Amino acid sequence: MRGVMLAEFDINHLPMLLVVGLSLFVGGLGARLFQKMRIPQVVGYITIGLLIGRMGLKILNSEAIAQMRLFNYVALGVIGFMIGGELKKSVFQRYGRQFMAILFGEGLTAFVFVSALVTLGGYLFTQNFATSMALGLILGAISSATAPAATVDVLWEYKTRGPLTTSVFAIVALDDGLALVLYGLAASFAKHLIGTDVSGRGLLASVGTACYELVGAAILGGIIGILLNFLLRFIKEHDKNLIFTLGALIVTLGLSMLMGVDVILSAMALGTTLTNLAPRRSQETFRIIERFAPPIYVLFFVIVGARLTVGDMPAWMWVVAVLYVIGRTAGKMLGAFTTARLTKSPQAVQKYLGLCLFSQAGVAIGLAIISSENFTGKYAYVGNAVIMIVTATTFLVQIIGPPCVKLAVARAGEIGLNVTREDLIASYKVGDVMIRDPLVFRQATPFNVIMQTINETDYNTYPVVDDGNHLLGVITLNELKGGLGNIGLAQLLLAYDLMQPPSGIVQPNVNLGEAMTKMREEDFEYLIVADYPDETGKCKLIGLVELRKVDRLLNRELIRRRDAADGQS
Amino acid sequence: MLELSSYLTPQQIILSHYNTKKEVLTELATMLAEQLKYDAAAMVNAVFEREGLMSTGIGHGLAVPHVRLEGLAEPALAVSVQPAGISDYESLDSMPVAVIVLIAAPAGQHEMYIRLLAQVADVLKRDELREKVIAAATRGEADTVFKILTGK
Repeated sequence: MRGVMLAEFDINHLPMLLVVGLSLFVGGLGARLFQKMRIPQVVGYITIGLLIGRMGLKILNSEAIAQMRLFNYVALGVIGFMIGGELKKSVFQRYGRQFMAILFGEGLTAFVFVSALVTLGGYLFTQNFATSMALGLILGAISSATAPAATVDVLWEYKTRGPLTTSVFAIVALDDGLALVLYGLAASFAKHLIGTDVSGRGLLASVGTACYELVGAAILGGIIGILLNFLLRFIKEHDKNLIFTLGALIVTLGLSMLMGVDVILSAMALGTTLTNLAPRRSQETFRIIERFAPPIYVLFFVIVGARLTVGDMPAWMWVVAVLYVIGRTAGKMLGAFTTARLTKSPQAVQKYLGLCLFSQAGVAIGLAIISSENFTGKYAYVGNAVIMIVTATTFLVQIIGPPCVKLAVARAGEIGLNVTREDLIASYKVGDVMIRDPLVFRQATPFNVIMQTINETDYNTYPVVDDGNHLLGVITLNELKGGLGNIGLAQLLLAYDLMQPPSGIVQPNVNLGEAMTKMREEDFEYLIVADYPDETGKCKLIGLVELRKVDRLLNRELIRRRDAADGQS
Repeated sequence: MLELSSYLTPQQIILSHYNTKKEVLTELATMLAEQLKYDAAAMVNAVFEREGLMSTGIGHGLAVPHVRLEGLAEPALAVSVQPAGISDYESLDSMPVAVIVLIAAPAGQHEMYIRLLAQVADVLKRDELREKVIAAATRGEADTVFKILTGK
């Protein structure tokens, strides 16, 4: 039995679940390694994909990738949904004109640059102008797309917030739509150029198809969004919220396939509808999906890397690929810069938006595959060239794109500004937020002095210490209540009589999260911050953490950071 | 309102004749510790530690020494009446102290401790009641002192 099992072991035909598990695990390790090198995690996932994929160990081979196709749609759906959630009406009312201008600016400039360069380069090699121009137009259209997933993953990883971040979300969400329309036009024109259009479908019909894909996706996502929003009004529990939201999302994806409309766009429309119908309530839904999503992203990007293969590309295609990257990069940067400047967008957007638009993946590869189906028979070489060039360049831009996004948001000063309360708590040690010089009493401090101090200050907790600043006990406002009403006691009571043993002691190097959990679980209002006990069992007072003060401090810091981010716009 | 009778028994009243604070407090703390089956030395030490921070003589011939002790089951009182007065008690009004009420409470029962302190101070600040206690003590009637203090 054992022998049979071993004989069946073949690294290229491992059970699917093992492949998925390995991809997740190794992808996670890769991300960790790249993060240590300060490179965005998404590059780590893709690199691991390359290593175990078609160009590497072939654990994740064509067969396995094909089997995971459904999963890929779910991943794209989740990513689309999350991006849709960022597209808020208020943002569009404020920046809509800018966004549309920049979208057309960067998309069309890339289209024109790539079309021109590829046509020229192709002509030098093939001496066939019509074919070269067909190739140029199709690659130009594909070049206008920006892959939202890898781009947005960097923004999420570094918790960015600000005008550049907002613009990137809007542009990457919309320019796939632009790419679809451009592709419709370009493909139709290209077919006329090289005379393959035997279907008799004209330019108008191609554009019509592209429009149907866009509008259909928007309507589908919109309708399901309205239904989901209605349903979620009655759902309070997290797990049920997750079930219905994920269910609605997958139904949207399935219906998109059935109707032949764009999958990512319909998922985006779902997210956008939800976030705009119930801006506050839906935040919880997005948070739930966000928490659930990381493994999906990891697997998705590993597959992106695994799918790439550029083994036997002829030399001229490499030249065209280089021209494509140059044209696309220059077009996106110049187009974004010019239109951002013309629309008087914030400086950060003018300077750095172009850097954020390099990534290309799903839509580009998808369009390349479609083009290979469009150009068959004796024109198959156009389709094949498109697939090979798009694959090769995807490989390149997926590796350099995310670090460029990181560079851009870092230069724009937007990293770390989109913090949640949990992020803030996780970033602090007790020593960072403690009251450093708490008001203290000596044992012999009389009651009236204590009362006067309490009246004049805003603390609930007062440590009692000896002359060496060793902690002896604590007086809290709550526990004082018993003695407060009795003036007669004033002469009788000292801090010594009123102090109690501290409810909890914590060291300054303890994580704030840990300390806050302890306070919440044990219902402590405060923790004394002290060093470790000496040989006599006494510990020196270092500070004090009051739960309500920490809450106040966290809220203030959150507002400060968000204001700092939004104030730049 | 707390009833002092819950924490005081006739056996916890001493009518003796001492001249110094040290003697009176030592006797009172030792007696209460024995009654409560508590470590007498620990109780005496605790009483003097507190006294060292500030005198518990609050004037009008009254002193309320008080301690919180680990391992004590219930709060308890002990009373010593010194008709001649203890002049070295260093009370707030510098007058000799005639009525001394020792309060011992478990370390964990903070609120009860403060309320008991307030109650004792309230009751014994009444001049008339204090004079009755001293008169009864002068006659050597511990039971009467108990009855006056507890209202029984």
